[in-house]
Amino acid sequence: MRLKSVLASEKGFVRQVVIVMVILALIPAISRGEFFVSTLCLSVIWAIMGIGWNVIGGYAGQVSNGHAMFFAVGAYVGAWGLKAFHMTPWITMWIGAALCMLLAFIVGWPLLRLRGHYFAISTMAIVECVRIICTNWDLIGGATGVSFFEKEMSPFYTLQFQNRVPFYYICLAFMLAFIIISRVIQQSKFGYYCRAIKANQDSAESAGVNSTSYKRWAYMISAAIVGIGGALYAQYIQYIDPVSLLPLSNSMLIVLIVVMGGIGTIWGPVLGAFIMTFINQYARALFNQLSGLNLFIYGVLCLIIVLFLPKGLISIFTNDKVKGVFKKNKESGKEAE
Amino acid sequence: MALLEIKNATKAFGGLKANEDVTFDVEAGSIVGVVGPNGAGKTTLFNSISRTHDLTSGQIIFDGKDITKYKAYQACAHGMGRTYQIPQALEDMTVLENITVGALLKHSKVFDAMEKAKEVSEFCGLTELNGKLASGLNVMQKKRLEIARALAGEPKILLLDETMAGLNGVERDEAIELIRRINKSGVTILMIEHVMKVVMSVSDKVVVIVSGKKLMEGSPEEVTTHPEVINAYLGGGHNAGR
Repeated sequence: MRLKSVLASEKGFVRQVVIVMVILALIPAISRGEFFVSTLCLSVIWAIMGIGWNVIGGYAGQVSNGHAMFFAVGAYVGAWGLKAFHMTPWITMWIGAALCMLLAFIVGWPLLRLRGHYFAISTMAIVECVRIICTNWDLIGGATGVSFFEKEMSPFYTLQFQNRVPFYYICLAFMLAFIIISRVIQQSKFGYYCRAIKANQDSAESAGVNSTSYKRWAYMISAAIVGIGGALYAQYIQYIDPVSLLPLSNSMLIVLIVVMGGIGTIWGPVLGAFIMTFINQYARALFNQLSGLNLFIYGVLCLIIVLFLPKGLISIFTNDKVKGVFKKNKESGKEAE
Repeated sequence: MALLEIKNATKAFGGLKANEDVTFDVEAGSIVGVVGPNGAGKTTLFNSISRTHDLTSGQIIFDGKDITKYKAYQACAHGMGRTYQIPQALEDMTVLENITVGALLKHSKVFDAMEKAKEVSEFCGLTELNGKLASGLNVMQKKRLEIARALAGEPKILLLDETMAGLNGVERDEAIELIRRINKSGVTILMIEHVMKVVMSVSDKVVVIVSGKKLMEGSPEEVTTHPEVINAYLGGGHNAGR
């Protein structure tokens, strides 16, 4: 009964979810090429991380530039769980998420007192610390990293697939779950309070919002989602090391995906992740003889998006002016909030 | 019993004492006006009462509880609503969403809070603007919105910081009418006000603050005819009643 009334009030959202999911589920039918499907998997993983970052960065307005650390924690826990204890990522990813929450709680204690740019810079510093620790901590592999490819066990146990199509659907299921969580957050008291903090923290406090506590919870939820993304990534790539997991560019890419897609929206991170990952992967493959050119193209495209669609790509579907041009594609799916 | 008691409130910023030894009571159900020249420390006093910052010394008793060490959100949860002199609307949110944030204090379900918000919005005459972004409002509308957001939290006392500043005559009369209606609905009001006419017409009691200290308190008539007040606040030779 309750579910029915919720579904009735969320008709628009349910329709969006169905359309987007059907489209994404059918994409592998276009091509099953290895590179194409790999890029799809990466896109979904980055979308999950974008959704996670969006909780603290988009809803609560605290721009964290250090989310690669949660990404790495999730990845390391998944990797070592499988390598050392033969534990399935289906279990270890939740342990990783819990650890991410704990880490966010501890790190957030001092950092969330800072506002604006100070918070952004301090999170950047923390992730650098984590990178140096991981590089020098031999127990967890140090600079050489962890290689944990498992041939013996079932791919559904290890989440390591030769053919990546099933993995794509598993990631998609996770993304769906987080999309729904994101929507629930957005429509709840928690979401309203986060938006109030983003808009004006002092004003929110005098309206009865305990900003410290709400920011901390937003940071922890955000960390947990990114941690799950990290666990999926580890099983996708099957080899992890601090250099590939914890560079500043990874932290920035998470931010970029959300900002490009549409900050504070449900579908922005998804749209951003797909477009960014595809551009990045294909530019890299196409211009492999000219190293760096892919980043150049990437940068130019980012610049164009920022200049002409400052509210993110998702505004194509919400902005009335642009809508006129795209009127025919109105039902094409990723309508924003 | 007094709803709000301010006891020897002192607030110093370094060597500057913005408030010194201010003591007064606010009776439940009354409207109390705080007046004083620019820079007298009225807003500082308000910030101390609403717990935006800490007192250097002194005590604030609200509804039988010592709230001197409370944080702003705790004071709010305890029944203290406030507005700002420079409106602090949640700019990226619509009018209704702004009020809903206030209403969520007493209604944890968004749907219920929104119903409450609609009610309050109508009470404050904002219904037509419900769907508009707060950043698109003019100053008067923003001030109303602040009042509405504070009211949505069902406060026992409402602290209004210069609600009338920058309003024209008609708007001012509307605002006075709104304040009267809020008071009638059972909310005690403590207001800072520059416009003497407003203070005179609505206040049960007026507290005069000059250079951070309380000069006197009394009925509007007593205050406006007191020679020292006229001298300090309005400058010599003026008739305060005009």
